[in-house]
Amino acid sequence: MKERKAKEKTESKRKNGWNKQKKTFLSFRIFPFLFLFSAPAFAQQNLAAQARQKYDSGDYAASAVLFQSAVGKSPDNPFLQYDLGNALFKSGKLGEAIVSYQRAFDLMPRNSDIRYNLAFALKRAGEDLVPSGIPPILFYFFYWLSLKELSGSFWMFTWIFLLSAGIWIKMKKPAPLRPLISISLILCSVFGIWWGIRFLLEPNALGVIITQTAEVRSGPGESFSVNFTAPEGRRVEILSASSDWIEVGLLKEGSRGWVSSKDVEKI
Amino acid sequence: MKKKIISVLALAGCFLLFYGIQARAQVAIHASVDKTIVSLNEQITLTVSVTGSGGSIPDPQIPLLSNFSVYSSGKGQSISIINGQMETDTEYTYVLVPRFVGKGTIPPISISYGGRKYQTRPIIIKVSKNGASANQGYPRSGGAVSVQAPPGVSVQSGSGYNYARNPTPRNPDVFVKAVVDKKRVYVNEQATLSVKFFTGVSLAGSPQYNPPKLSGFISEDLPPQRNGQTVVNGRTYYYSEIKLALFPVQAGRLEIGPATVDCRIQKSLAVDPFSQSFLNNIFSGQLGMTQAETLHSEPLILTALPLPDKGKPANFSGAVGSFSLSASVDRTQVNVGDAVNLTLVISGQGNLKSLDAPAIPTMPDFHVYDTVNSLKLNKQNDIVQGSKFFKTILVPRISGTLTIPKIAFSFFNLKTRSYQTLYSPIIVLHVAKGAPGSGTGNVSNFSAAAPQDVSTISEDIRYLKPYQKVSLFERFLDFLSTAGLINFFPFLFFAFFFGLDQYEEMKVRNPLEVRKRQAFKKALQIIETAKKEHLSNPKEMTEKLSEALIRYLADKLGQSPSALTLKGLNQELQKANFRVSPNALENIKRVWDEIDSRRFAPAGATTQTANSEIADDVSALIESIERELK
Repeated sequence: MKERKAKEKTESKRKNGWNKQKKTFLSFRIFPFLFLFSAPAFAQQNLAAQARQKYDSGDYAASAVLFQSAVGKSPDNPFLQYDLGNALFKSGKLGEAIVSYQRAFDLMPRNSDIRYNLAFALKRAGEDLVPSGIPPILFYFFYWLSLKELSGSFWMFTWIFLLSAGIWIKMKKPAPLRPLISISLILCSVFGIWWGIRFLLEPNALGVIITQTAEVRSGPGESFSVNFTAPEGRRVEILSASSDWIEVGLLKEGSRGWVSSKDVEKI
Repeated sequence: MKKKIISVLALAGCFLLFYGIQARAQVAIHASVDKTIVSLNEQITLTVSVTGSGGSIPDPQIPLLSNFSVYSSGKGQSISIINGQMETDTEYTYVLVPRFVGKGTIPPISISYGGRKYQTRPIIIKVSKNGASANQGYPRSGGAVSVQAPPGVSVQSGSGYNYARNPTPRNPDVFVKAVVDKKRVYVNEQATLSVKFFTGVSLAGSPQYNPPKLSGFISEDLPPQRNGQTVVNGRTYYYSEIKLALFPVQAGRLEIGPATVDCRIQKSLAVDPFSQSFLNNIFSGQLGMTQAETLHSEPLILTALPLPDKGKPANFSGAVGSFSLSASVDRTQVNVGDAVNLTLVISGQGNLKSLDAPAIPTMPDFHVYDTVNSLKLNKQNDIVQGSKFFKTILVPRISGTLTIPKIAFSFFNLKTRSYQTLYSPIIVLHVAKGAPGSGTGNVSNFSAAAPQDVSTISEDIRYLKPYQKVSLFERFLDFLSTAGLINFFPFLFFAFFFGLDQYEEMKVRNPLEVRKRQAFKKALQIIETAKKEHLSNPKEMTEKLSEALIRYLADKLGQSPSALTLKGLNQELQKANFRVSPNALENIKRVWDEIDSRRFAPAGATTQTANSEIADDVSALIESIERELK
């Protein structure tokens, strides 16, 4: 009996030891991975700090290059896109600045600074952020969340709704779960409808004229006549592409035509 | 009672308001001259300064100065705001030329404002002869003025004066002649008109000069009046000359109308003491008769050429001549809200009066007040020249090093016959923030005077944002939005539990159906268990196989297994709901009998192989029935 107890104790110690070893092992193993995971963030931060210094000293071109590197490492960071837009704007690259501001806006449309600078730059290009005839407050509400946030929220509440509903059924339909199911169903529907409307209303692919004046031709080639010109910074909907030519539609004027792919940068 | 109190208060308020207005509307007038002792040919500059805190202060009233020829030389104005109260200081400048020798007085100059009269003290002027002509003066343009008789010509106001003369068409006694120095000038270029009044006889009284009618010109008097003696066609004349500077305001052929002089000349009568009419003439006073004459000059035509369009600067406002531009500020170290006086001076030859203030570029860092100008003219050598001062008050809005940019002034240069643009130098101001209300200039700190609206100075993009990582929640949403098929998991989860729930419900609602569905599976399970556990025990084995078969058939038929007999089974299976073939019925009977025979057989009569075979038979039978019932 004593022997058995002693064995059990040894086994228990071994198990605890193994657990400790396991924890230590995991921590040693995981820590470098965590470090590696966070290393790009440090690099971005350093690049952003250097870019900021250049920006403050008035060297906007160098600042733009550094911000561009930081954005390359984290293209989904709206704040880096915004900073890059600032550096490009100050460098006199209106079109490219609008590209960055638009990307930042697409990622975080509710940020007032991003919205202001995009509207400011668009105004320089002869365009308004808020389409005429639409009350700004309605526009800002409609664009409070990005498309990704809307779809993410839709899926999040869909998950909550379906899982809670499944558990509710499994648990023989207990009453406390009902509010969660109802709220998640409502939110899932709201975000789903909102996402759907935005998805339908927004152009499929957006681009910006980045050259001083883009010649918009009637077909994809130099042999086609120039129908009109589009100024730098003007936003266009990309309708189709053919080798070096892109068919674009001007959002404001409603005209369409073909421009060289060098003249347009996709958002 | 209340009404009375309100009425009294209202009256008191009106009184205070009226008193306040009166107290505020203080006006002071002051006159000064640059010299009080002059010779006859010298000029005196009289400066009348009117200072007032109210608006719309009228011009001073210059009294009749019969002893002086008076010429207005311009007006300058400066505005200052002290403690939020505006004060204007207007200086009127006059040029006086004495027409007497000895002691004279400039009487008080007055101004009426707000029901009160303000006046200056009289100024005493001493004029010495110094060999100069005793009769010299400036004519005043725009109306009939007296022209001094030429020197050497005695003016008789009473008795006649015999002056031998033989007037002919070529040598009239008196005549007026007008000439211009140029026949073709550019618009706004000076042409000098000279009107000469010649007389070869004695004049009675002062002749009256009426300037020519001018259309399409701006004229400027060119004092003083010249007098002299000259010979015209062999006859000696004394003359008085008046000059005018003319500046065409439009292109084309412009007419200078005739100048006229009204005078009275002494009639020279032949005196014959033996004549019958001699005494009559003496008694009738006709020996000293005068004759009124109105003399006209010939009208003149002047061609004004348009200024060329080629090379005309955008900011050209019509200045023609030769000019220079300078700019200065009264101080360069100021506080925010302090006033800085920016003075632009345009000097040179040309029509300075018509010069417009150069356009001050947009300076968002400053509050720019209206420009006030003053003029200082000099007409030396009959050329209109001088300086025009443009004073602008600038109030810095922000601190730091601020610059007043270059200010451009364009004119048509007559020497080069081309347009020329002058630029003022860039002026740098150092503006300190200063304490609120610490404005030290003559203009008070505006921020202290009244709350001001926020004014947009310039617009720019907003500054960089501090580095921020994308939040985990954002990343989570991003992940969900791009998760693809993973997002179908909750659907499967829900579907599973939903299906399970439905099944459970069905079990409760229709247990026979559930028995039917599960019959085959349960029977096979019993057979498998029997094969594994009771293969060596035939009795147990047979019991289990019997149970499996009877339970299967009972479940399928919805009956109790204990109540099922082979006979009853046949009857049930032949009913319409079960389409079991006769062959299957035969098999059931055979297997049923086989099991029964084994159940009741003595121990050891069967082998393991036989048991296994009967188990397989039962399995095959159940499978065949299941197939047939599907």
